Amino acid sequence: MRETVVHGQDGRKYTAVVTAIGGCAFEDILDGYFPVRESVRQLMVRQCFTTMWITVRHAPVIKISALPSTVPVPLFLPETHSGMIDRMVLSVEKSADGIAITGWGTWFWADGREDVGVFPPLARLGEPAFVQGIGIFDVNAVEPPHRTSVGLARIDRAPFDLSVGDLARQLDWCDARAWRLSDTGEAGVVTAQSGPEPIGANASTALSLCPALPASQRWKDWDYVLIDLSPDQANTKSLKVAQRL
Amino acid sequence: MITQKLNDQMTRIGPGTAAGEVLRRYWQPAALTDETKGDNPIVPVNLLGERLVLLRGANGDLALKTRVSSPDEPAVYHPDANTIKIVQEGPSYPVVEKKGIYFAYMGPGEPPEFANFDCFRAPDSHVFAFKGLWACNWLQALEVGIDPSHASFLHRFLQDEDPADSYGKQFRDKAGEMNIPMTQILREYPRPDIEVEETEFGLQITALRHMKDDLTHVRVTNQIFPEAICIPMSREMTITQWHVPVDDENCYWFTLFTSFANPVDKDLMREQRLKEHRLPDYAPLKNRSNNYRYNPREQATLTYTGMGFDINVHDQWAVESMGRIQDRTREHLGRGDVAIIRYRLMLRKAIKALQTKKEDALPMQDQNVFELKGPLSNDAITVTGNWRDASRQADCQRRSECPWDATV
Repeated sequence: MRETVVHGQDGRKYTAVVTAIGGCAFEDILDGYFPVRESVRQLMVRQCFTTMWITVRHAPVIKISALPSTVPVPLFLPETHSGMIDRMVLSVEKSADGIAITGWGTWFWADGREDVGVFPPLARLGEPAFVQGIGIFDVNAVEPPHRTSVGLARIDRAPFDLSVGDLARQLDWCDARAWRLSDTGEAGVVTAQSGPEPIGANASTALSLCPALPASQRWKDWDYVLIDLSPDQANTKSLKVAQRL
Repeated sequence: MITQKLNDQMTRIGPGTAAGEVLRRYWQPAALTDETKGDNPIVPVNLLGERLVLLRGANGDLALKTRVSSPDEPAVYHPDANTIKIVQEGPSYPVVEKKGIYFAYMGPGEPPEFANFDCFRAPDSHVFAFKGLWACNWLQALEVGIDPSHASFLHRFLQDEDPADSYGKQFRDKAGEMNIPMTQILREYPRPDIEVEETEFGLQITALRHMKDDLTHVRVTNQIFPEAICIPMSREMTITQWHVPVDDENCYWFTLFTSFANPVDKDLMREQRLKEHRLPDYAPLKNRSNNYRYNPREQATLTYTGMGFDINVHDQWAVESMGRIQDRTREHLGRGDVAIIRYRLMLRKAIKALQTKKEDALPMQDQNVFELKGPLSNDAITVTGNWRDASRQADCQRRSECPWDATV
């Protein structure tokens, strides 16, 4: 964990705390037809993560009211609520009883009904969905990587001239992207909210301009998550994915 | 498993429809130059649900114009040229000829540039164009082409041919530089790992078949947005194939066969294909009406389908048997359908971009389209750990020995 002191335009000094952590940028397919929560849990286990932030886009969803969560989907889609996630950003964390999901997104239902502010917990994906995101490894499941590619940062107060690059240099990275962690999400709930585009800022971007991801309880003390874009890192696959985030 | 409404959004292509508006932002194959005679052609064209005619306008340029038609015309109707009448107040779509295909632009504003893909870059002597009709929606026709697993089943040959007799045929050559027929690899390694990467032109799809002795067969294919694929046909040739809607329930495949080293034997290629199609509509002779000439004895001993050795017929049967428009309310995709999943995401993004007036967000609409080359499309057998570099190296080797500039 490193501290850096920067001078803001107002002449004041600001302190940023930065730490590196084992993780990576990743892409995967979220299975369809299970309740979304179960698909997310399986993804998390498959990737050996304890925490992850993922973005889902343009994914069809279905909600069959009378269908218990443990029952398979029928062979064809009956008259039911179905719709589409336009964009959804989820913060997921391992918890004692499985996983805790917090997030926000925009979606619609084809019949225009049930346009409430919370994504139904038992909704299912209508087909598998492509997801991108950043994951933190479960150190009990995978060997720690030789080089960490995810960073976390906390800033006393975001000064105008503190950039992503300033934080990247503290981690000995040449380049990075960052996302602001937000505590606006209600724990355990995916709320209907049109947030900023979840696209990372580049190294020259002032941190105050970074878009927000919902923060989980565990990471609420941090303001930003960073991903390493240094060209010399060994995990070229993760680098390419990070460049696309 | 999506609602009919969402299925309609992706499949229906008439003027004003969501997917139709996306397709109209790209050059569409409209007819083969083989279909025209003389300098002033008059060729009926049925494209994107519109009844058109290809002809030369008053300024001498080729164009597609709306023709007078009857609502009860068959989907692929070829009226006699002398009887065709133009709808005077109808649109006039620009047309250009490329490598044996007339391409039309039916969208608003200025048409985009053509990418500098191999099929457009190779000399005329190295490219052959053909087309064929399928009685189904364009999307299911495209989706079979971006599923790398299907070849191990649908195109399974129970005996291998001598690759020396493979000219002009798909999957009948040797795989890479090894003396193993492609048919054997597809048969013996039916469950590839599939990697999909989004590119500037669409998707690059890599199927990895891990073999004995730490070797991997690497097959790289491509989806070119919105409705084309580019795949290897043999060590010598690639196939660039568009699945072009005639209407919601019929489509043509238009293919440019591109040869790297030697000129294409066009007479042989045409002769092979005309044995399987009738003119003037290029409808396949094997079709639903004759049960695709299914032969159970052949199925027991020679092919998976029992429908002959032309893989186009296998694909045609697979996509036509899903119904005119696949009922996706009954569909269950798995993770092995990753390319289809990624493609639909691209299509939905494009639909959304047009709905929100963000046309620039569509792939290949910017000024730099001509910079796009390739795409890499080949079969190679490599050491497992180094498959990515080795696959690219094999492709570059082929390109470096090519008499035309195929560098990427």
